[in-house]
Amino acid sequence: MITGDSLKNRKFPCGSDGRHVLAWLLTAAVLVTGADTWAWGPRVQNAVVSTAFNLLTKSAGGELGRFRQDVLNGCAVPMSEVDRMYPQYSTDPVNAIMTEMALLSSARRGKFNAYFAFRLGLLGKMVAMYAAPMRDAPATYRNLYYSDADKAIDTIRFEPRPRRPIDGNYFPRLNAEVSTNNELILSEYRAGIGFGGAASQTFSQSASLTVASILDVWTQMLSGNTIQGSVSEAQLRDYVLEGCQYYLANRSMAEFETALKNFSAVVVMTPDLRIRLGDLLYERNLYERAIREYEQALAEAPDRRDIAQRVCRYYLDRGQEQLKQNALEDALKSFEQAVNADALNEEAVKFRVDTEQQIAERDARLEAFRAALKRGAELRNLAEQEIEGKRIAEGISLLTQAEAAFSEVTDEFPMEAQQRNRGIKEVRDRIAQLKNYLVSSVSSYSGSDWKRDLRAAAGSANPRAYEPAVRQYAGSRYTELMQALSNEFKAILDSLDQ
Amino acid sequence: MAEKVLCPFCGQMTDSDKPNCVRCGAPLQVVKPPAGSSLTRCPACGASVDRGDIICTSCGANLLKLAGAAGNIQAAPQEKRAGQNWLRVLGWVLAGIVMLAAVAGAGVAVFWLTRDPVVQARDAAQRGEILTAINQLEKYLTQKPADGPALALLGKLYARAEQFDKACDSLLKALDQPNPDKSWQLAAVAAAARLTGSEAVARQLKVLDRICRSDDVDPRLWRMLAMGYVVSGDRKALTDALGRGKSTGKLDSETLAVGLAAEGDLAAAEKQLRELVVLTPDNGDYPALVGLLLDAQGQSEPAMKFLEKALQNKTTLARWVGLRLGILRLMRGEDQQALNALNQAKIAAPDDPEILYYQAVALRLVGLREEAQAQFERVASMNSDLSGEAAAKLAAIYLEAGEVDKAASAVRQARERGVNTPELEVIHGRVQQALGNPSEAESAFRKAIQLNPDYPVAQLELGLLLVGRQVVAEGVQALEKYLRLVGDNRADTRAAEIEVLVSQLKQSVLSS
Repeated sequence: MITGDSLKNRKFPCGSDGRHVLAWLLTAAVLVTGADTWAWGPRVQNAVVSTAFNLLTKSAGGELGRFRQDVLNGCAVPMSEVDRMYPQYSTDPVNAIMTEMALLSSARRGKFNAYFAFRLGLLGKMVAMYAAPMRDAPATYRNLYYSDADKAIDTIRFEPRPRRPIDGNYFPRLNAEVSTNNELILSEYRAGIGFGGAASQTFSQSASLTVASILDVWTQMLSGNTIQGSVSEAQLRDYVLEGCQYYLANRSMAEFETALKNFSAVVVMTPDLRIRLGDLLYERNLYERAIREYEQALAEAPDRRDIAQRVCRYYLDRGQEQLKQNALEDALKSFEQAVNADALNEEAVKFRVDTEQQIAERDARLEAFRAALKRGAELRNLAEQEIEGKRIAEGISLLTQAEAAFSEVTDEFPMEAQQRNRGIKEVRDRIAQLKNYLVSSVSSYSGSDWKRDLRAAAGSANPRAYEPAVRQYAGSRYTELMQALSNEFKAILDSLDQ
Repeated sequence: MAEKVLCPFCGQMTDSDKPNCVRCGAPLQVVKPPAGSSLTRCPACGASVDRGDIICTSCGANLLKLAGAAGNIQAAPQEKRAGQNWLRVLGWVLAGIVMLAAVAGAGVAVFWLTRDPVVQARDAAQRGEILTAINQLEKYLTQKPADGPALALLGKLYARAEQFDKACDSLLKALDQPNPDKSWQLAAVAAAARLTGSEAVARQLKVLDRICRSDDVDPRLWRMLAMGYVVSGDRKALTDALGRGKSTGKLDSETLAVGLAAEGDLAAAEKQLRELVVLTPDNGDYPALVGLLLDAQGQSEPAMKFLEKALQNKTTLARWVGLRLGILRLMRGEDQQALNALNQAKIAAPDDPEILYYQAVALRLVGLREEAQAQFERVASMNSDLSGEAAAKLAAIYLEAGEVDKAASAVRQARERGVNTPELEVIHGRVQQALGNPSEAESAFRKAIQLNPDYPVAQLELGLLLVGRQVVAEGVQALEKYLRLVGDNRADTRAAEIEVLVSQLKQSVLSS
């Protein structure tokens, strides 16, 4: 929906204000197609509704001022939207206006709210279009007139008029008063004078009349003196739904919820209404809020299998999506909700069972991972004990087992995976440290067998020491004997006798 | 051959054709009277003197100094006779006396010419004329070389003239003659005993051997002969002597045992000596020999008992006993007892390089590194077969003390001394490793393995080096080979720790 704010706030490449561009486009559309056979041009409509609302606000003490934009939004709706809501407007505008007045009077049960202001703007637009001169003139001159009027809207001077009650003659009298100068204006347009003649001179008067008529309608309706028409529950429900849609499109969810609460004073929230509201929310991707409405509707009408199936489908889809994200608990909850919504849905039951199984398996894995982490930590402690006892290899072996235990943990559980990564890193660092120690410590064994070498040197000594010993012994004996015999035989040698 | 004569100055035998005495250098010409000299009487007192005498036996005057003056003395009476006629009568009287003396001399000459030359020589010898006697006998023996008594006498005369070598020859020749006198054997031994010089023992053994081929030889001569051959190392002669000695029953147990030991029949020698040990329990040499023989037969356990006993009994063979006992103790790991034994050996032979070397080994093993170092340094500086090995051991000690440069120097010294053992290569490798040359260290260890593939220490050091250089797989292979070579004999090794290390390396480093 195009709103006044959105247009005002939108910037165009040419740098002009969005509202001016819209006016130009509308004028061009009227000139080219002549499709819109009613009403003032958009600028005039906006001006008169705005002026009327200002006057209304003044009279109400200014408390309605904050809904000004909603009123203008209602005034700015396209003609097609008016036709959608009131198809009879083109043929019986008074009836449509009266119906709208009756509807708003009925919906006035609650507080004055944004959507009510929007519908007030729409009502103003409908009245403004009805109160426009040249309404029945040929489309060419009518459109030219409205176009010229849009251009001249800034030049008019508002002329206050007294309030008149809306009675059975109000609209025919208004029509007569509006049409007073139609012939003259038409003739001048045909004569080529255009807006420069009577049209221009009567423009302020016509616009002021339009403002007055809008103000009359609004005042009548707000005063509670509205003619009570036959406003059905269906119309009120439509009003509520349209209002909800308006809130969803233009206001926050909090304002929507508040408005919805107020709407409950306007109409009874039937299961159907809740379903439609749910659909509305669903279309806007507000699934959970929609499902709440569905569930509320289902609670109120448990035999509504269609609602049950819709809720079930929603939870199934959500559960499957959660399954994809491995959010098993959430998925299970969704599948349980799906089953709760539609116990006969086999798919939901199957998904619930499968998910429960997956959760059980996952929990088992989690338990196994935690056990593996615990085992890894214990093995690491044992390894440190071995290392303290200088049993490095045993320590390394235990650390390797600890690493294997840690490696059993997968990335499935972030916390456990983090513990695993830390454990593996610590174990690997320790193993590397120990291996370096082991390799570097070997040099301490160098030269350790020196005693063996020395004993080997002793073993390699010649064991035949008896040979020199025997020679020495024999030598000493020989010398002794020789000396003895020499002394003994000396006399014989010295004797020269025979 | 020159004639042997007695030097008139020193009384020793010398060659007659030499101008001077070969013993004392005195001029020999003076021994003979001057040519044409008629001096037969002392110029101082007129007493009769022999040709060649130096001192007058009557007045003690030096005949050589007076020889020149003698002519003058004799010339003077001639001048006086010419001037004093009254003395002519007295001259005739004297001439008559001279004639009588000549007749008497002729008689004496006839007596001398008809005397036995052996008797003459003996007489001359008894008069102290040894040289004359020798000359006479030598001259006589040229005509009658088989005269045993003459040969024996000549031998004795040679001995008296201190020509013991000739004395032995002459006496042996005498013994070779028929019916030799037994005293000649004893005289030959006595002469041989006085032989000196490098060939003395060989000559003595020749004499003894000849004597022992005679009948009824003194058993002590057999003992001497056997012992002599043991000393000389003439195995063949020893065997022959032992054979002959045993057949004559003249060899005593000790001689037989020593001979058998020298022959190499260790068991038989040991058996003989064991009996002697029992018979003479206070003797130290018999248990010493038994212990050494047992040691040589590989029976170290009983050997040590005998060697210990030998030391207790103050054996004269303490040098060998202490050395072998020390070595046996070292081999058994009884290092302190080994050191005690080696200390006793060192007392017996303070400068024996072998004893010093093994004493240094013992000192090192008992933990006295500095003392061991000093001892090895001493041996390394000696000129000995063990100097190189001592230098190698010294290098290991330096290396352990962190004195790498000294260790490298000691390795070089060991090489210069001809040491080319795997042990030295390993030490060289360790030195290179300490100097930061791992490649050279590896080469040295591999060379050690090449020299002796079964030397475990080389495998150990190579393995440790390779593991340290991150070549773990090959290093572990070497360490495993080391363990295989060491086997169960793990004393003085860190094999158990190496085994754990290998296991750890295989489990940890190699498994990843």
